[in-house]
Formats: sequence, structure tokens, C-alpha cells
Amino acid sequence: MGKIGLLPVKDNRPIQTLRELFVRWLESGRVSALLVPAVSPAGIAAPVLWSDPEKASQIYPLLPVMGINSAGVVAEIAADKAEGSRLGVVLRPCELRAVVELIKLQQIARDNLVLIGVDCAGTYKPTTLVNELKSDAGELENWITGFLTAQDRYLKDERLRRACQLCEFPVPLVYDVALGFLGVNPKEQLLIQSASELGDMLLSEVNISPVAAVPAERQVYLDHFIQNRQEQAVRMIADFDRTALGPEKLVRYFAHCINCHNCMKVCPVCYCRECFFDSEVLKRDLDGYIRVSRRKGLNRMPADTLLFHLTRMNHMMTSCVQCGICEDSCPAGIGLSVMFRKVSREAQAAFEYLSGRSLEEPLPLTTFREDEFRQIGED
Amino acid sequence: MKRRIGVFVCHCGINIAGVVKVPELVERAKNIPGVVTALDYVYCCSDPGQRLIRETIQKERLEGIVVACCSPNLHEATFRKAAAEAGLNPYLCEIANIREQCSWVTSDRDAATEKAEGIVRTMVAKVSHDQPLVRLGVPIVKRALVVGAGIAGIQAALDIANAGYEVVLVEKEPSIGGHMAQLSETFPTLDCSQCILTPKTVEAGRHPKIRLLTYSEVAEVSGFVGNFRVKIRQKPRYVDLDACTGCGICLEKCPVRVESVFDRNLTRRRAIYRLFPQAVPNKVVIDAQHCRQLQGKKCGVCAKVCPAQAIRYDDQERIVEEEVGAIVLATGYELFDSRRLGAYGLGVVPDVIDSLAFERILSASGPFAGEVRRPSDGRVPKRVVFVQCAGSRDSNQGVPYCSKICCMYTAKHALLYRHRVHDGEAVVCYIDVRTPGKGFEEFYRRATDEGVQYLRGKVSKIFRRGDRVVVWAADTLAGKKLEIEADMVVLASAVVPNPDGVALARRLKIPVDGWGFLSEAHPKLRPVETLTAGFFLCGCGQGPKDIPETVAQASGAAAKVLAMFGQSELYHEPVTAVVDEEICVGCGNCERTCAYEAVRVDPHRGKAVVQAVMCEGCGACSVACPAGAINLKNFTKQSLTEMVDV
Repeated sequence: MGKIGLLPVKDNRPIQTLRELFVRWLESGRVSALLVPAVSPAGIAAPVLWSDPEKASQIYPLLPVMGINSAGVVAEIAADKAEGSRLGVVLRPCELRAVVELIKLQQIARDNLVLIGVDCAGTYKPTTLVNELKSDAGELENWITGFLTAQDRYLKDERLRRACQLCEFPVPLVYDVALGFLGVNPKEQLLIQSASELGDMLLSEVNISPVAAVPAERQVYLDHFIQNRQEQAVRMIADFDRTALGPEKLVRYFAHCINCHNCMKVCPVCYCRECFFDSEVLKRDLDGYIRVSRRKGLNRMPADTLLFHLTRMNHMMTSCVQCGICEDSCPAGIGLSVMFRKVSREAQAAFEYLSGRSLEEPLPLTTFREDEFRQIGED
Repeated sequence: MKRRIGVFVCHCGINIAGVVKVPELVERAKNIPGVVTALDYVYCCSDPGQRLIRETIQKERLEGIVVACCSPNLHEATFRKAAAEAGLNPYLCEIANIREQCSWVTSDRDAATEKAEGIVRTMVAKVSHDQPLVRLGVPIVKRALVVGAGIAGIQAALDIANAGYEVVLVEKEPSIGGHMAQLSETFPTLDCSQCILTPKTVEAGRHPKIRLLTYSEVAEVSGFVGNFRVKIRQKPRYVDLDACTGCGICLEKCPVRVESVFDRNLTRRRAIYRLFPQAVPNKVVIDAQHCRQLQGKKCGVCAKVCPAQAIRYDDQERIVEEEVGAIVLATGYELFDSRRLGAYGLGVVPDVIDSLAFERILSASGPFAGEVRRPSDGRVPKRVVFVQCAGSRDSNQGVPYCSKICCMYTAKHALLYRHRVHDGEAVVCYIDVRTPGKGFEEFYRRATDEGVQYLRGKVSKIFRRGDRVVVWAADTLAGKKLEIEADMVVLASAVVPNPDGVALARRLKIPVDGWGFLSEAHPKLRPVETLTAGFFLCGCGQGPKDIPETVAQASGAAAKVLAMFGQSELYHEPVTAVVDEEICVGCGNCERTCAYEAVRVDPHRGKAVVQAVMCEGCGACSVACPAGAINLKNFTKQSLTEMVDV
């Protein structure tokens, strides 16, 4: 189990090469349909559930645009075991990590999925790339190929989504098949790897040149990439600490929340059917509100916005994959991505856990370990 | 419509009233929305206090009451019962703890009164939301499982069986009897241990209500109080228990000799053996590890000589399944391995032995038929040093606790040695001599009167010189360092819980303390129960103790089992978790968090399901559920929110 090979790229067109690869798997019936990034002729970038090989020209795997975290879509459509279908999902590392968390939280049935992971060097919001997306198909493909090969540009690109600017997970962690372009010259070849029997089978249907290990130059490049992003993370977290650490600053950090709960709605791992904060529990009658007002003299309305964020942080920190989609959806511009990057990674480190790293690693909040947090008060 | 709520403030003598300003609290309570009456009384838990509560409930037509008093651990049951007698559902009575959580922790009267009001408000908010609940009835399987058949397990089994209920008695050794079967005489009366034990073992072995499963271990327990399903692993004995007559011919013919664990390695037994001559059942067993035939070599002698044709080389492990309503854990003790005290030379210096080995030497069925001789050369030792606290009260190398029985058995050892070797010299090195027990001090005096020397001081080193054993001791009373040349040294090794018992307890999620001793439900008031309903405990598995204390505790555990079996059905507290299926998404956090295996996600419907009789109402699931889809009855998110927000 677990093969590595190089997929030859024809005519300097990695996007077209991947389209042909996926068409082969659709035609052989290995996958019934694929959830994959696409761009419509009108220039709308969104994931599509693709089953007709004739429509391949609208498919843009490796498109560096992220409007949603597709793990949420996977949970929506593949929560329960299916009888005959098998869904291929082409996902970025952060999306795959969210899928892994949701599988562990019993919100996605693993059995029907083919996890196809792709390298990700960072993504833009759809609104950042309106011009590029509206251009004709050939130009868009060229633009993407240019992006994929412009190695150091995306490391410095401040137009990338903020969560991407400090992301240190450019390659998939859990997958059946992984497709890589970082550090392998994607105009000529792509890296293809399998990590399961199903993945092996998919690889066996494709003409690839097997290699013994991941090419050394890729590893060198990835190290450089990750180091760069980590340095960026240190800078951004230092900025965050300056503006948000301590109770008073934290209150100010969330000050302009309008209580729309968008961050909760778009979060891929915020999986409750009905949020506690949307329920009736915290609602009072008018007497109750007046009582609270009297106690303080005046009371901010809508009430409980800070409580909402702290509770959400508490609920999500161990499964958060730091995709930052919450920040993109926030109409008040609250810097949620850096905050969650800091809080969730530190919380996960405390439990020696990393969200989405493995399907076997038990969820920390429901695992009892006698030796946990020994350091508190027990020097 | 607000409920009509009554508040009763207890003075608890001066425990509460000495700090909290009770009259002021009563006035403030009357202003809490929903409260129609507030009264105070000097001792609410007394008969007149309860009568006041009952009469007020009826007179004021109360629909909920709050008693502001001590911890609900103490009197919640009392007041709920009083409420029920007045016709109020008992779960509409709540306790506001204004003693432990208020008056006992401050002397500031104003602050205490303020806080007491807050606590009362909180509980008024709760009782306003409480639903009337009804206890759950659960049928009981009136059979008991007793794990471990030492004197504790035997006594518990006999008491339960003699009351007419069936008992499954499981013992991992091939015979019942436990450590008591190894002992010579018992302190402080010097009765022969075997002589007082064997009537019990024989009775247990023949009792029509006791199913004896020796050479067996509990593999798995599922279910809940009153309705446990137990899987017991019966190890292959290679001897047909029904056919074997215990004649012992095989014991003479078996060609293999191995060290006898029962005799603390002082004698050698055969590969086919009987644990001791009075074993119950009085049948042999083959030690598969050492049997030539079972190791694939040529032998088969025992099968050839057995007149009853009882040998079964193809015997297999069996799983026996039993249904029981209660489980008594009598898993017993082991001696601390004093080889870990390197300076004491056990296992290295010949004739340094531990206390159970000396019991075997003193025993009539032991290696020298009761004569005191040295293991190394069989000579009669003329000077024996007894070292107390070999591992006990030693936080560095041993265990920090006192093993409780060593002072007395060491006095017994020294005395019995002097009785058998009249010109022998017995020296006891001790830190303190502890004699709290009936006849114990007198027994210790008898030992000193009969010439046993006591030296106060810890032994620092034991080593060999020629064929003698040298003890470096101290006499702290005389302020002298001493070097004693002896012929033999007996270490009073610490008592530790039997490791198999600890492993079983951990598997069954029965709490143990830091050393592995089973934890009782309450150290004073519930000493033979565990925190898991239906599990009881007795004997040294719970802590070091002597035989009479063990027997008393075993009878106590049996009485608890019998009290349970005397009921027509069990009642389970109704404060259990319930699932709001509209909100539940089946993530399984509750299932993974539940320590009682009371919740699981139905794989077809993707919803959590609670088995109420297994739910102990701890609320862990409720905390783990991010959506708040699982809640404890009368601890709903609504009521908790209002309790905080009063």
C-alpha cells in the first residue's frame, strides 16, 4: 500500500492533464462523481459535483480560489453510507483535514469517499480574482499555470487570504490519492501518490513513471515554503498578541461583532444542527432583560456576543483546521483566522493533537488521559 | 403562572446562624419572585423541623421548596422524603447549601448573608424549572458474584448463600483459602490458621448455593446493578474435576520438580500438584508451563498412574457466562517485593526471607514440618532478627502507608520462634510498635515479657558474613549504632494490593487509590460499597487489615448485598440524561465521554440513545455535547442558565 509516481504533463498544461486523469476515473466507474473546483463560463468559481466527462473544460483542479471550505459540502451530501455510489472529493489540505475531523465526529461516512488531495500554495477570495476568472478559458488556464509555477510569488502575495499567508500545510495529510505540484515543475510533471488500497487501484489505471521516493528537490522546496510561512505566522501572531491579548483587548477585538453567526455557519467543523446560541435558552423575557440592565445600568445589545465567540472557540479549538473561512465571511472584519490559528494550534498542542492529521488519533476532548496537564500545580 | 415556592432556612445550631444573619436572609428570601413563604428553624433535620416543612407545604399549597441548610450529601434525602410525605414530588425539593459553601468559609456576617441569599435565589430558580420525577424500577437478578476466595470472599459468599441466595465464587488459584491458608498461627490468640480456616473452606466447597469456580478469572462484566452479565475465564486444569478423587498417586510419580510459590519457593512441588493438603476442591492441577507432556516432551506418567483416568491433556480454556445482580470484590493482597529494597539483601543474601516465607517455616505443613530451620542449610537459627517496616512507611523506596498487621505478626513470629527454639534469641528492629486492637497491646507485652528484644531504629543494611547474616541496626533510644550477627532475618514486607485485582478493578472502572487499593464510596459512611452501584468490596484489596477485620468487612459487604436482594426491585435515581433528537447529530461525543457505557449512538438513526438505568447522572455527556442536545433531567440548559443569571 502506498505508491509514488510522476504523472507526465502534456503541452505544459497541468490543469488539462488532471482533467484527463479524472475523466479516466469517471469513465472506468472508479468514482461515480467528483466534487471539484470549477469555473463557469460566466466566471463564477465554485466547487461542482461533476459526473459528465463532456463538461471537463469547466473543471479547474488546483484553482487557487476558495469561497467556501468544501468539507462542509461533503458533510452535507455524504453524511450517511450510500449503496452504490462512490464520491471522489478533490480537496485542499485544510479541507481534507476538516473532512478527517468530520469523519471522526461521525458526520461523514468514510466508506463512500475517495479522498483526492491536492497541493495548495494558498488561495484568493473569489472577489479578489474577478478579472482573472472572467477571462476566457485558455487565458484562465494559463494564469493558473503561471500561478502554480511562480514559486516565490505566492509566498509574498499579500492578496492571498490571510489564513493562507500563515498556513504551513501545503500538502495533504490524509488521502487515498495525493496530487502534488510544489517543487516538481508542474509544466512537465505532477507528483501522484497513493496511501490506501483504493488509491493503489486508482494509480494502476494511469500511466505514471514510478519513483522510489518523493523527489529530493520537492522536499527542499517544501521545507523552504513551510519555513517562510512559519516566519509569516510568527509575525502575524505577534501583531495579534499586541492587539488582542488580555481581557480588555479581547473584548475590543470582538467589539464590532453584529451577532450574525456567519462564522459559525460557514465553519466546516462547526457541525451542530442547531447552535446553542440560536436556541431559546439564552433568551429572556422583557422582565429578565430589564433585570440584567438594572444590574449593570446599561447592557450592550445584542447581548452575549462575546460569550458566543468564547464558546465557539472552546467548542472548535480542538477540531479547527485553521482554514480561515470564518474571517472571510465576517461582515465586521474581525480577524478570526489569526486568532483561531493561535488558539487552536496551542490547544491542540496541549493535547498532543493535530486536527486532521490522522483518522485514528482520538478526539482529545473525549479522551481521558491520567497524565494530562500534570504540569499545572504539580512541578 | 409562577410556582408557589417555600424557603426554609436552617440555623444548624450556630453552624449557620452564627455567621449568616438568618432573620435577614428570611426577609430577603420572601422578596424572591415566586417565593410565597420563608421560615427558619433551629434544626430543620429534626423531627419538629421536618414537621414544620410538611405542614407548611400543605398549608401554603407549595409547589416547590428550597431548604437552605447543609450539603445535599447529608440531608437531601431527609427533606425530599419529608416533601413526599406532604404530597409534594420529592424532586421538587432542592437544597441550598449555605453551610459548607457559605457559613463555614467566612466569618464576615454581611458577606455571608449576601452570599446565602444568592445561593437561595439560585435554588429557587432551579426548583421553578424542576419537573416532578419518578424513580425508575429495575428488576434484580438475585445471585451474587464474589471475586476472590480468600477468607474475605469465602465469608461474604457463605453469608449470602446462607441467606438463601446463589453465589458464584471465583478464585484464580486452584484452591480457595487465599493467604490465610499459608499462615501458621494467628495473633493475638495463637489459634492455628488452618484449623479455623478449613471449616469455612469445606463449607464453601460443599454449599448447595455456592458455585465454586477455581483456577478462573473474571474476564468481562457488562450490564448494570441488579443485572450484570459476567464472563469468567476458566483456565485449563488438565484434570477432570469430576473424575479426580484427590488420591495423590500422580503427585508421587510426576518426574518434574519446580519451586512451590505457595511455600514461597522454600520447597519444590511437582508439575502436577495440589496447592496444599487441605485444598478445596481437593483435586490436582497440572502446571502447563512445566509439564513435560504439555511441553511436547515424552512423559504422560500421571495419565498412566491415575486410577480414576482423570487426566485431560487436551483440556481447553472455557468461558463461563453468569448473570448476577451484585458483585463483591475480595481481590486481596500480595507482599511488597522487598527485593526492591536493595540494602536488605532479599534474594541475594541466603536466609533473608520475607514474612510469608517465615509463616511457611512455622507451619506444620511447611518445609520443615513446623520446626524453625534456615532455608540455606537446614540448621536451627540461634539468633533471628525481625525487621519491621520493610517497605511500609517508606516513601522513597516502598509505600508511604502503614501496613497495619506487621507489628502484630512480627510479635507473633518472635514469640513462636522462642516457643520452638528455647535458647534462641529474637530481636525485633522497629520504628514504632502500633497495637490498636483488642488484645494487641497485651500480646506485644507478652512478647517482650517472654524475652523478645525490641530495638527502636531503622535497619540500614543487611549483608552476608561467612554463613551468618549481619544486620546494621540502630538503637535510637540508647543513641547507639549496632551490628547484629544473626542466623536468619525476617522482613516484615509491606502489604500491597494484589496486582491482578488492581488490573480487574481498572478494567471494570472501579476507582482505586494511588497504590491500587479499591476505593470505598465513602471512607466513613459507605465503607463496603464502591462508587459503582452493585459493586461491593471487602478484605485487603481495600486496604491492609487483619483477619477479624476482614471477616467483619466481608459480612458487611454481604449484608449490603442481602439488603439489595431483599427488595422486590431496585430503584434508580431518575436524574438521568435525555436526548433531544431534534438537535442531536450523532457525533458520539457523549458516547465516548460516558464512563458508565450508558449512552451510545444508534448507527441506523444517527441519534444518541441513553439507557437510563445505567446512567449515574454525572452530566459529563451534557458538557461534551456542543449543541446541548443531551441534558440531565432537572439540569436543563434553561434551568442552569437561570440559576447562574439570578
